[in-house]
Amino acid sequence: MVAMIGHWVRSLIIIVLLGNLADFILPKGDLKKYAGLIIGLVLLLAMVSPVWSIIHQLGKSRSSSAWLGVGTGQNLSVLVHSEQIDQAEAMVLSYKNVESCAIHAGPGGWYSAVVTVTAPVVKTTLSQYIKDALAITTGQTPRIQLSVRTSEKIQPSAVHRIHS
Amino acid sequence: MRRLWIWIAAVAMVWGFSPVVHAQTVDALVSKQAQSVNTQALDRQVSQLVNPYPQVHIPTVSQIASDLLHRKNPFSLTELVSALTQAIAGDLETEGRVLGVIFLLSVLAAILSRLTESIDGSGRIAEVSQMVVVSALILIALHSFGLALAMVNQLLTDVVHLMESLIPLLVVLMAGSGAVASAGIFHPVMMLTVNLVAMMTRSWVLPLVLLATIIDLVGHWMPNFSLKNLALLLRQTGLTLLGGLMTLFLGVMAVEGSAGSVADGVTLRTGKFLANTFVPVVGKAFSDAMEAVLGSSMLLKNAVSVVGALTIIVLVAFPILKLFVMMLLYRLGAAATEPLGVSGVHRTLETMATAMGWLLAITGSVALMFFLMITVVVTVSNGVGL
Repeated sequence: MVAMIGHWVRSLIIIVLLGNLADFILPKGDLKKYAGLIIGLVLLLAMVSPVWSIIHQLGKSRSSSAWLGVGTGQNLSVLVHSEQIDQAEAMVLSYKNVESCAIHAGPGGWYSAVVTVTAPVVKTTLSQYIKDALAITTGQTPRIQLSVRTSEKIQPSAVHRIHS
Repeated sequence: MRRLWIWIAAVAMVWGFSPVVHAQTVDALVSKQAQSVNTQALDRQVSQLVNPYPQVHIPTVSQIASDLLHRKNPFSLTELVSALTQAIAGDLETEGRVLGVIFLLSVLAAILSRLTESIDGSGRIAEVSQMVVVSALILIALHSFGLALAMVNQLLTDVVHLMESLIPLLVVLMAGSGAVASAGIFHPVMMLTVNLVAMMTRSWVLPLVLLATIIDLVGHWMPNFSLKNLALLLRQTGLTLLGGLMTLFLGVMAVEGSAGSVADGVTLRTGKFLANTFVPVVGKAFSDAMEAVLGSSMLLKNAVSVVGALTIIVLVAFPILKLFVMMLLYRLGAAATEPLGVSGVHRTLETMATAMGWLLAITGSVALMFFLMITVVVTVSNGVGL
């Protein structure tokens, strides 16, 4: 903001210097009077135009905030909920042998979770784990529908363990 | 039988505890607390900040505490005054040289304009010669203004560094002397205000004043189209900002101070009452010991704040004196060059003197704010009724 004012003032000073120079060089007469008027007008324009553009910008930004929707707070709660689910997914990823996890919110407090594992897991324990993770992040007790898929590729470390 | 045992236990407790409480003198308590709180970082920072002024010596926190305890004066004022006089002499010498150059230029301008007036009647050449001289003058003046601005900036940075190393220590000692609520309120508020004031001053007030001065100088240089009112607008914006900041600051400090101290008084009194009433026999000794500990920590806290206040005074005194000397010399130059009859020169000098005056005011008010902050904190938590 201060940098903007600095630019503005610099351009004004340059115009003033050039105007003084022109005023100085021009011979006495009618031309000088009109030149002075023109320089004054240019100066006025240079001084006022940034103020006008700032006011214009303010109006624009106000309309864009109106476009987002005012007061209902729905956008925020949706955002917060998706963030909570993402955090729960990240928690589930810390479970042993879990490769990926996708949780989707359904109607009536139901959540569907699709988990890919690299080795067979106990389904009830995993489901309890996901339930706990969702309970921690959302603060409610969820009901979940769990489907577990085993990925085809076998973990290299597991292979290594078998051989040794 | 059981009652007898309780009596024996009570007597043993009194016998065992009371020497511990009463044998500790305030001296010992203060030195123990000074060791437990790390004041070395503050002392190091202070000595680093005062490093450019080798004649001034600021005592360490523990030194001040022991001096206060033994009713001695911890800081020699004569030392500071002699250092300041030396600094004034040095400033007068360097700035006087600049003023000499300015006088030379203005005399030359006067001679030139008289000469050209006698050569051609239209006065155009006189105007050109005056313009050239004033441009040289403006270059010199802007250079010295830039130096002054850099000095003020550096001063602000230094004072903020000082406050940032002072506030945590002060707040810890405040909490230690019983003002827990004040400490909790003051810490964020003080950090916020210090940084806000310094940031606003550095990035808004000083640039606006600089721009206003430049516009004024350009107006004196080429007087046909001048932007005097724009300069006035910018300067007034900057100074209003500073004034508003100061008002806000004083209001916040006053309100927070009173609220915190009331809460602290209540907490402390309750604690003492509880100890006195519900701890049998030794309750009185316990609350006395608490008072002794709190009092010694208060002494240490006052020592810390004395260090802070002294450092701010020393840091601010030298730049302010320099600015004052510059302002005085520019005013002198303006007064002396006016009879020569070259209008641009004395107006330029006048503008420079005014700009120096604004810088002086800005520096003074910011320093005053920080100084007030330290004193308000100290008086607020000293007012906690023990």
